[in-house]
Amino acid sequence: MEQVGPKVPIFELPDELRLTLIAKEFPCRESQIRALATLLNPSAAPCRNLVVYGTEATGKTAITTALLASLDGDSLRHAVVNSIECITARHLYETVVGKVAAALEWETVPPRCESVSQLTVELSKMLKYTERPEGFRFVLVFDGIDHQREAPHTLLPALARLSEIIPSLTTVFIVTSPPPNNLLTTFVPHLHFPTYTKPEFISILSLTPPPTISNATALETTDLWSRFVGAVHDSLSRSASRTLPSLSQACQTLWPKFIAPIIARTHTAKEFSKLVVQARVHFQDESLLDPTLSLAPPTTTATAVKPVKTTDLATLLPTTARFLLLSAYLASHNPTKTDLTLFSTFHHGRKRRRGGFTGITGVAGRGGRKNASQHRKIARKLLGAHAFVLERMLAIFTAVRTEWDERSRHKFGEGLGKEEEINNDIYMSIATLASLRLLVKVGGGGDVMDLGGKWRVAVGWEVVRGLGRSVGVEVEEWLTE
Amino acid sequence: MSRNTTNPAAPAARKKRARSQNEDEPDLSSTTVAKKARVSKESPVATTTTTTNGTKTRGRRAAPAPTSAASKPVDIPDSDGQQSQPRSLAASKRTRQPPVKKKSNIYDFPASDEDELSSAEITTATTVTATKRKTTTKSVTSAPRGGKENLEEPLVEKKRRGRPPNKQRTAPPITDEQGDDGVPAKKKPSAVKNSKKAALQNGNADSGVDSDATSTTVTSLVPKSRKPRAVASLRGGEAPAQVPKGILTPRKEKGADGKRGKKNVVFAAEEGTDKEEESESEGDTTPTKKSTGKHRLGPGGEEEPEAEDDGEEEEEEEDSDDEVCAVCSKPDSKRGNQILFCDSCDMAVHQKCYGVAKIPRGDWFCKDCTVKKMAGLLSVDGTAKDRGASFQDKKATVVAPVAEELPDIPNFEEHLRMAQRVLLDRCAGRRKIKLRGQDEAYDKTFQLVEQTVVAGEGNSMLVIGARGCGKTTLVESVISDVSKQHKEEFHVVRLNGFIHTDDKLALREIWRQLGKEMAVEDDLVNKTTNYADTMASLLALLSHPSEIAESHEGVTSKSIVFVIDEFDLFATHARQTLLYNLFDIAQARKAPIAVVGLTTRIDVVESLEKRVKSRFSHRYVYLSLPKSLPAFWDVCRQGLSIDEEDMETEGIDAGLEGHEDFWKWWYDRVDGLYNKDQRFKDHLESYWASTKSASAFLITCVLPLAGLSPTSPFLRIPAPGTAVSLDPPDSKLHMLESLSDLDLSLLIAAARLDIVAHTDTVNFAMAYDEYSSLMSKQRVQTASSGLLVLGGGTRVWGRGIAGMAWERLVALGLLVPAASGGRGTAGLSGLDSKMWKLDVALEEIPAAVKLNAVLARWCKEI
Repeated sequence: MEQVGPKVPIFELPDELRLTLIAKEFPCRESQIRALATLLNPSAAPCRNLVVYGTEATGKTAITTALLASLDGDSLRHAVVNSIECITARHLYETVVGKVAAALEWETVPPRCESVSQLTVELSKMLKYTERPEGFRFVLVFDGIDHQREAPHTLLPALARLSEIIPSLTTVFIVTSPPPNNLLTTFVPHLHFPTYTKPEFISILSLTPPPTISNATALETTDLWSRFVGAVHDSLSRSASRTLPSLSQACQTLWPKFIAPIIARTHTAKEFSKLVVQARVHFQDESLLDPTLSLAPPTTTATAVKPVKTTDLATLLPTTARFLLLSAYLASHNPTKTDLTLFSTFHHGRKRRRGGFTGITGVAGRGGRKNASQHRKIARKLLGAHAFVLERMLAIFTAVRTEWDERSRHKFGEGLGKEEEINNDIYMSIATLASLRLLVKVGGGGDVMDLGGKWRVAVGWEVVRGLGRSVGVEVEEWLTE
Repeated sequence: MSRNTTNPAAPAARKKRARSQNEDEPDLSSTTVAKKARVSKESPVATTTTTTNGTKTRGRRAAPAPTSAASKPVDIPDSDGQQSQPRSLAASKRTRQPPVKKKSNIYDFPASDEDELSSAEITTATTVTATKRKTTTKSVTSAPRGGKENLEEPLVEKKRRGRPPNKQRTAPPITDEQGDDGVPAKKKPSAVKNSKKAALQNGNADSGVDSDATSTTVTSLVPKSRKPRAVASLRGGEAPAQVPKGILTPRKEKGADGKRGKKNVVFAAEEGTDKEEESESEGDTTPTKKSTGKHRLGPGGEEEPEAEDDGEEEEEEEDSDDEVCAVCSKPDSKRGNQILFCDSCDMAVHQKCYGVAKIPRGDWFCKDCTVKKMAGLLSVDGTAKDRGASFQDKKATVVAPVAEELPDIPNFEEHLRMAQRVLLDRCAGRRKIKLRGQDEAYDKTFQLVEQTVVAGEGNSMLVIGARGCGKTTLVESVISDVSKQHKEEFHVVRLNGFIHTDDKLALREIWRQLGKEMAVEDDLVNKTTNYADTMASLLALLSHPSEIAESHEGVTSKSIVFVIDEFDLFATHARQTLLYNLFDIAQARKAPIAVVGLTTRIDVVESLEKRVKSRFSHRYVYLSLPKSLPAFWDVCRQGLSIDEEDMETEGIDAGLEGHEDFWKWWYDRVDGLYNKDQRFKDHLESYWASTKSASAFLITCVLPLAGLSPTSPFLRIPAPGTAVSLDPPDSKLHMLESLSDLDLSLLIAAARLDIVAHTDTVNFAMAYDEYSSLMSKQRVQTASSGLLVLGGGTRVWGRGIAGMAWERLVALGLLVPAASGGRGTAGLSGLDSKMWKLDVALEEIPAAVKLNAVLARWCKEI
């Protein structure tokens, strides 16, 4: 064929055979693979920028990498840069330069690359000012670029401009969900990798069937496996954790339990529904989805107790510190206005606990009732710890200590110097708690021991309850909500 | 039709129904089809029982009020009152039926306010469609008269698989009505005319027509599974019209991309056979005349039957299952002019209308199907059948070859491949496309740059325009044009505000680019790391020789053109040093430089400091996006065809045999796309209305262009079928699809708190508390109602798993951290109390993803 101008290489679609291979490796993604191949292959329709997006575990990175690896050759080179591996933007630039140089077998890699500007220069040197074969393309993949740490806000637009400056470059951005026009360039093709549907999940997992069960044929096993995957998908994956890894993990864990009746010869491989009924307990086991727990055998209760004991605050802290922490929790979670009713013994001579403060909250409740009809009030404990003044916490501490601590009650009864003890032991304990980050000072400035300083408790309800029980206090009784 | 009582949308639908009673009459016509489509969408059971074909449903809807009330006990009584009054009129029109509207609303999805509007268009569309259909069939459904009825029954029955036998019940009331129908019957032609006119005037309606027409063609391919197919195709046809259309409303087809019918495909197929059709499609003749004119065999007896028809119509509708003739859209079937059904595509057509003198024994196929059979193209791969979405595929593969023949051009493949290469390069943005309609701006810029290069003037200018309007193209083409004449006389320095983020970097870059172009030794470039040094040497380089006596003695300095992309970002640099110096040099005639700033911000001058602003020449060039659709097409066209004068520059060999023929054929194809293909036009208009960006449009052409091959060189845009879309997502809502039920529950619980508890921030503890309280309420309800719902519906997940789900929502960006400084932001007590803001609103959730009944109720009931 006679051709005028060397510029018109003939258009070609990427090699069918390669695509089929990749499509086989990554089932249910054929249209994406084809589109990607068209948009990346130098002889097809290589674009300048491409955004590949989709939620996790949909094959974005795997397919892009596999496809590029198969297309790699004289006319196409590629480099994949994973943003998660780069802790700063500068680290990213240097990684890019390093990987591009490696892909091109470039000799002199510059030691430093501090800015996009320099990155542009280095890439231009390698790709633009160096003679390359006709139709050469370099594909630069930025994986997870939306999670790049310490990225300047112009990072994405700047990277998208690279391909404008260097004509033979194609940049691919792999992101979870691109905000509209985040590249700030005219228009970029976006390729969506949707989540797998149930049939797709089943067909993917069917490709890797488990070893044949001893009492069944291979065909029966694969058949049972695919139906089993469907059942697991419906009971666990669809309802709680809809990703391929969690599904496959759950399937792997459940499978031995599921086929146990077959091996025990109580059921045959064809009685699927009976098997499901047998294994129903397992299908409802939440721990299958929790990666930390599902790896351990189900009888972990004994082992789980041991590590808790060593880290249990109740065993680590001295009694005073425990009381302090409890009063800090009360100060954090009780409104100030209820303090009088909760802790004061002055007027009535008897303690009022929960429920004894109707006077105050009742008024507040009535006042808020108009709103309450429209807007429900959020329980205070759900909102997390509030800040409190240190002085208030100390007041609560002194109020409850006599009640909680047998020893101090005696002392109090004996009339020993209360003040003195607060000054010494207690400040020490507060300092300990603060250094353990169990109590956190809110806002900077001021002395740590400043009575007006604001603090917040940093332990949750579960811990506090355990702590309270260790000193014989039901903390719940002291909370207004 | 069984009503879908379990439909979660029922309350909303009921509300809607109440409202719809107030709607004015013209709208009523719309509902039948809307209903039909909706039926197919919402309750598969209903669809299978109702229809093989759209027209049937329509007729059936027209069944009088008592029938519907009787057959559907669930129906709201008020429908009767409404129904009986306009029915006499409506019955004759078949499509105008108030009760239908009401029924249709039952299946409504919540918040689809557009339905009234959109469905109106659809109906008019289908009315015309019916007239346009021109296929025939073997099985004859005849008028329900005398003994004939019995004869025909088996045949009809065959077509009505799974249909509830309620038509027998409907029969008596209908006959009563016949007397009334006589009078309004006369109105019918005009009604049809009106609707047709509307359809023809309304481009969107046209597309609806086409989708219907084509979908029927498609059904022909799958004779065995006819009903589901028809349903699917109807659904496809309806989808794009869901949104109310204004003149400027984008007509982009989302999701259901490419479901819209293709007008010219059908017409092209028919062009040879039917001139009338074609002229009708152009809309310059009265549709009524057309439709009547099509009664080819009986021009004499035509008027009379029509008058009669209305009388019999109702009867006919029950019996032939409301099948109407695709040409005249009348349902009457009499001896000598019976309705024929194509055995392949189920198209119904009058003998006379379609020109079938004698009903053949055995199978009978419409013209389209006959052609297809001949072409042997009826083999469709089995996988495609399974998916409703892929019907478009078949339409493309099957209809296209019928419509067009492969051109007989020498070296066809080479021509095609070369064209593809050039066009794909253009579409993907690797070859420049020419500016269109920006002559003034071009002249101004060209003059300025040329003045700098030739006369040594210092100039500065700003090019302002939206993204994608061609600023860079303009400047680059100016530079390349200037360099054609004055190649060695100037340098170009290109800066970009995104890349050169401060003046220091920009200076170094200028120095580097000049060094490269001026062949300054690398040493010098690399040595000048000091900002002040760089500045000084740059100024020295740029300044006029006379100012710095010792350097560059006797040498006239070369002109430099600075192209500053994202000019507005340079204005944010400290003290705007670079801009100040550049403008100063340009203004003070120290050196012949031209500073061309490109920006999208129209108020960029306001951000310049006073001293900088005073040195700027205040010359502007404003680029606008195309002002009209033809202008937009003129720009976009370059991505789809190559003009004669560009052949040389693009490297296409005009000497290759068949060049002329090929390009003539290609131009015809592209013009045909624009002039005749409604789908293409809608696609183009959607881009024109939404972005006006040619490059955005051209990107969508990449995959269709790449898909062309010598065996199927017919360009279809947008790509039909399951082809992936390259559009960016509209919002984060696409991620909701991939959430599990637990994720969605937590999301909904958090979104509810926004409304219920009037808080805009939410933490995990609050969301989980809401979730578990909702769940326990749900359990109580299901337990009390005796429905022990199995499975995940009422399963309460533990805190640990819920925590994982919450973290997934965070990772997906559906929860964004609340502003720092607030409570819990210090990361103190971990997951529980860290505050988040929700990035989706409660009302968006049900619209974005299909929820199960429980979750849908949570979204609705606060």
